[in-house]
Amino acid sequence: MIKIKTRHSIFLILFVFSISASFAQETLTYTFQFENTPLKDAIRTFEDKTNYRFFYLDEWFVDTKVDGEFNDQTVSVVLESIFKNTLLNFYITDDDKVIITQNSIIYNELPEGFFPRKDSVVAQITKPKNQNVAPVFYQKENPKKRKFVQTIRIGKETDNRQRTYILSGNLRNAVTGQPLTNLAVVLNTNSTVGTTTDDQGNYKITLPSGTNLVDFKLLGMESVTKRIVLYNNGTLNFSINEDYEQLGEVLIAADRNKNVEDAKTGAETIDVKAIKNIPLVLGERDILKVAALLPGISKAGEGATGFNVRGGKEDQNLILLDDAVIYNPSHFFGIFSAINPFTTGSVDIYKGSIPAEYGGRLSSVFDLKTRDANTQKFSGEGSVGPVTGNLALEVPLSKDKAAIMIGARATYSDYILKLLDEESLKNSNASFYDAIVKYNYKINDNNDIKATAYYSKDKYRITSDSIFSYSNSLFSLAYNHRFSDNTKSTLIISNSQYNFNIDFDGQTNTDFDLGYKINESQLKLKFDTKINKKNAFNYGIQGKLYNVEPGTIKPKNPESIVLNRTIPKEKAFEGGIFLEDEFKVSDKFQVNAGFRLSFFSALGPANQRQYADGLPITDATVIDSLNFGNNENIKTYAGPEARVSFRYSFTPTFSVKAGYNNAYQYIHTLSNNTTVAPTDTYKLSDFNIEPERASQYSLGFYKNLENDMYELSLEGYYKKSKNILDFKTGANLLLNDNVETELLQGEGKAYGVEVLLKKNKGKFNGWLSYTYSRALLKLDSPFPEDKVNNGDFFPSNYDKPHDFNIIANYKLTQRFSLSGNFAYQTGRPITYPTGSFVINNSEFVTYSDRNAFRIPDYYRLDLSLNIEGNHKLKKLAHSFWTISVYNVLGRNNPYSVFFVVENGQVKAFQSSIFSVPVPTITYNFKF
Amino acid sequence: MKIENYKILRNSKCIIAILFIAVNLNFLSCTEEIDLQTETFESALVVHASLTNQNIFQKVILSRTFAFEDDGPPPESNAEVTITDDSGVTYEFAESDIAGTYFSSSTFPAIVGRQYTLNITTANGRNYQSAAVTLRAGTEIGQVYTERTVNAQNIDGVSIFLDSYDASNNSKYYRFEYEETYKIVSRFSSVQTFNINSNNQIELVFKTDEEVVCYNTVSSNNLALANTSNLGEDRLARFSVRFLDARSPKIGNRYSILVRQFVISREAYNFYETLQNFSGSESLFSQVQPGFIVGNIQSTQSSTENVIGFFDVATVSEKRIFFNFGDIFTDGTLPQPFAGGCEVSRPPFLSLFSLIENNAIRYYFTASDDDPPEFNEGPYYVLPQQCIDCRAFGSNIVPDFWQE
Repeated sequence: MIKIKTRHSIFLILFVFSISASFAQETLTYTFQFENTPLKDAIRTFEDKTNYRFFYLDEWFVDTKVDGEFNDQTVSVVLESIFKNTLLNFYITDDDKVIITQNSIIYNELPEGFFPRKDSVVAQITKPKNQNVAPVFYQKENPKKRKFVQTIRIGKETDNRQRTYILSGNLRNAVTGQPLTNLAVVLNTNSTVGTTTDDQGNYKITLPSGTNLVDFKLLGMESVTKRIVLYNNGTLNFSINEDYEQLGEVLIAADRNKNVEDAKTGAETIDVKAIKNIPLVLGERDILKVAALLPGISKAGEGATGFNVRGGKEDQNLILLDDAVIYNPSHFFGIFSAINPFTTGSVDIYKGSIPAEYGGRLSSVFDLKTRDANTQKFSGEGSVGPVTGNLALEVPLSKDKAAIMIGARATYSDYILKLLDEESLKNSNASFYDAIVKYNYKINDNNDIKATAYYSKDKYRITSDSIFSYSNSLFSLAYNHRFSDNTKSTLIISNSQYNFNIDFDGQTNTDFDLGYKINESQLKLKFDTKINKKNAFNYGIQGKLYNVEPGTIKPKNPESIVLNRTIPKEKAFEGGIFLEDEFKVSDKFQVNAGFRLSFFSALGPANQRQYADGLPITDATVIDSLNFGNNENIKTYAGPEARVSFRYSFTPTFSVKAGYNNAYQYIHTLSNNTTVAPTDTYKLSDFNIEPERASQYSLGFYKNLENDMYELSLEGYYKKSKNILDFKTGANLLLNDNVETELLQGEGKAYGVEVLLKKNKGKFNGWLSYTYSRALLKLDSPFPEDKVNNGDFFPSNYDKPHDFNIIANYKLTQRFSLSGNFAYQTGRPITYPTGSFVINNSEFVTYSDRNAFRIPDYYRLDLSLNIEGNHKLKKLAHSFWTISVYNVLGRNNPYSVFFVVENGQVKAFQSSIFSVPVPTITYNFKF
Repeated sequence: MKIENYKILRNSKCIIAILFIAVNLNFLSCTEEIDLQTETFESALVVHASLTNQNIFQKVILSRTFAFEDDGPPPESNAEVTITDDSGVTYEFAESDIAGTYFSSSTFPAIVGRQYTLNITTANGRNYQSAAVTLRAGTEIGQVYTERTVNAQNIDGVSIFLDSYDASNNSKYYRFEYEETYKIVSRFSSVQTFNINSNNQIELVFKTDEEVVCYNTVSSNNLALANTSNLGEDRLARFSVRFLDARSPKIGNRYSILVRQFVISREAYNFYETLQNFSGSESLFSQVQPGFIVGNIQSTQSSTENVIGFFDVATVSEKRIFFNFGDIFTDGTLPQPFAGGCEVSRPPFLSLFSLIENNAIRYYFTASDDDPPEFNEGPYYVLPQQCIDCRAFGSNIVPDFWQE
């Protein structure tokens, strides 16, 4: 007996026989009796009793039993009977060989057009001949394609062939066993053929007979493609694993048309996985840096902390990591982000229509979510770059139920610094680290808990006498409960803290420690309720308690005569009640109507000055000093916020959206720098400082082209803001008891047009974005000392009218890919010296109106090459190398221009952060 | 005390340090000096007026802003300057020989508790007035002393420190000026010197002018500020007024410094501090937002006209100290001379005329008979002027305060 071992050879033999064989005359008859006999034994009996030799694969016979009595029957009759309830067919050759095939029938003649010139067989099947539907031939695909796709044969081929068959089945989550709903089942070659699973995970799709490549896709699940060879109607049930890594990638495919269909304007999703292919600075994958390449989001410069979203200040962004605020998500002056790329699951950015559940910031919400730890198996991911090492581990605690993920990243620069005995490096250094722990526990199908703890710390020394350090810490706990298929709720408890410290150790007796701290605790309860097919409500309540220690200074040692001093603490409560309805009026028209009631109360104990009305706020205009007891209400601010957006689809791939949004902000950064620094403090609204307010109108057009291969969008916005906090020239903001005397509140105005063209699929993908925008400020007052630029609108520090970015990836082979990005921006406005003067024998400079000039335009090109390790399945770890060059053109982009008086002479300097091409190599691994 | 002690990371060249990127992030940055061009220029009045409690001719300096391409501030001449106090007394000022510098016509001290206002009418008829400022009582300088130190850049030298203490806790805001005077002793000397007589002949005469010992006085050209408002007591200890490199020829012989302490108002302090912030300390990553610094002097005719300056009344006290190089550097460190390149030469006789007329050389000694001139050599050994004549670096008049 010949056993055919591999699929490869059966394929070959099948063809040999099918070409040379012809029907034999059957004359002999036999008698058999089977009773629950394994099919294999039955065949063996056959071979013993007859001259027939059978060719088959053992695996086809597993678990198949046969029954029946056959008296003086021909072989064909017997075989037909015992194969009746299986997928097997047989063919008997002239020389008494029986070839068993699964699914397919062996033909003794070739169909017409079997050897086409160029057309593939698949194409043949979809274009069958009129009278005689072509039989199904399974042709092996181009062997160059290495991606493994499982082939599944469905149904038993009969002579009564149809053009199409129905495939149905049930799909479940491999981890939880839960049915997967809304999973897309789409024909890979023609995405117009597709369906989705229902609430029970069932699907039914009509497919052409023969070979079909079918994609099974759902957000959060592994994307599965199967080659389905359809011989008849049939079922295909299987389970799909949750996707831990490719979330971003799936998102694009699963949310086909999201760009066009979602009613929200100005929403962006960052593909976390794709970041791998974007060139790096110093070998660091940086999620937030990628955000700045999207239209409407920019940074004041390379070394600037924070983002400016649609003409908003850096403090107007609500940056959430697992629902807890992260105050400073960057390391080393914004050159690195403090978000670990290995542990991050998704990044959603709202810059236009902000969902009603978020409040407290005017410009945007960055919703960063850590992915869930793998409950199946121990796994890890790490990277080794020139500046940091990064490692993330996932440890299942209880299979299918609980797991923990730990991610940590740290610089080793200080270590290398010590190895080198270099004098010039002695006085400056920088180090940072961040760590995250995520725990997820699935209690049962309806309840789960997720907890996250995060800590980041930076420490740097630029001068020999002072050490600066800052840290973020946060904790969040989310409890999700499913009341029914239509109602879900989440309870979130979180706490965030940011603090910085200046440690001064000079030569005199004034050594000191200076500290700042802000802490907020949050409680949020939200519900999602699907009322009916048209209305989905999202509603809830949120409360936050702030505690700020605006500054303490204490002597560092007993010799120091620095006075122990503490600026009184600030305390406040911020609350919100929200309700949003996603109302699908019709397939074409959708409204998202959200409402949020925002509430803020500054709480005692505090001592607040009251200033005379109609006079500038100075020490001289104080008329009263008010004392407030513990938790006594100092001042309450409240206001309604509307979050409304509309979408009208003219066609399934073209829509128009409009939105209106307003918001209140009660927390403000105090900074007298042109760019944000880690030592900027946050100040809460109080008796004298009113909340900032903004409203935004937006309108956009969205078009997807060529089967979602391309996404094109054009969005415009107009934003007005009030009470934007600024400061008097030369203000001293740190350790100031009455900081309101240094502050000004003014008006803001911003508008812009954003164009984005994305290519999502293919070997060559990426995006191109262009933004034209203006961000203007106006600080007017009846008093000359409170005016800036004569009370006229002037460009803000981050006003960069033209902003152009290209990101492109090209996959050379399965292992090599090239990527590049190019950025161009108008130079940032600066205040330029217009002349000199002499006071006290020393020369000084006078300055222009604020921001009357601009530094030269910014442009930069980065390139990188990714090399994947080999794809052996059994390898211990999967690895890839990234070789990247930042600023390939070596453009000396000025970051700032500043002026120094040395020996009574004014000198001008320009500084840039990365003025030369910076090549780096990073090694990444995953197991 | 300075809380924001950012300093400049300044490399004269951009450093390419690919190999050591990991070592020091600062390496990648680059700060370079650029040429400053005046983009738009607006001329504004600049007032430097500090009324003191000393009974002296009080001084007001008026100038105007100038473009970077220009050499120095144009003086504001022919202005009418007066100071009035709250008792109705008006003190008239008159322009001195130095254009733009005005002195009171009589000596007068500012008195504690009294309010003073500065009035200026410029030649073109513009009128300016200061806010009324009051003199506060302030403390005297405690002591001024020297100490050999190594500064932050690891340079060996001498620091001049100041201690001050106000038991009444009233002074708090300080500004300092200094005047340094140093003795210059010529490296070489000769009793004779060249003279070109009426017959246009070179002759040797005995010197009548002092050329060996000179003195030079230089005023401070920086803003030195101190504030004790964040300290437990109104005490300045080891406040560094001045640091001199050990190799500085100024301290090579004998050195004197007069330190003047001004106890100023908080407003004046803020003004000067802002001035300093906008032109002194800078971090690569965070640039202080500069702008026009509003002082306390305004045009009475236009609220939009910018006037630079702060009229300030201060309590002044001063202290002078002297030291010799050997007092400080006792370990054999050698003082550095002012004059370099002191090579003896024998220029040809014919070129002597122009060298003498240009004050480029001094007679050192005459060649002896057994030292015949080679080709193109003259009869006299000479030295560059600065090697013999200390007046190249200062004045040969002994200052009246000078003590040996």
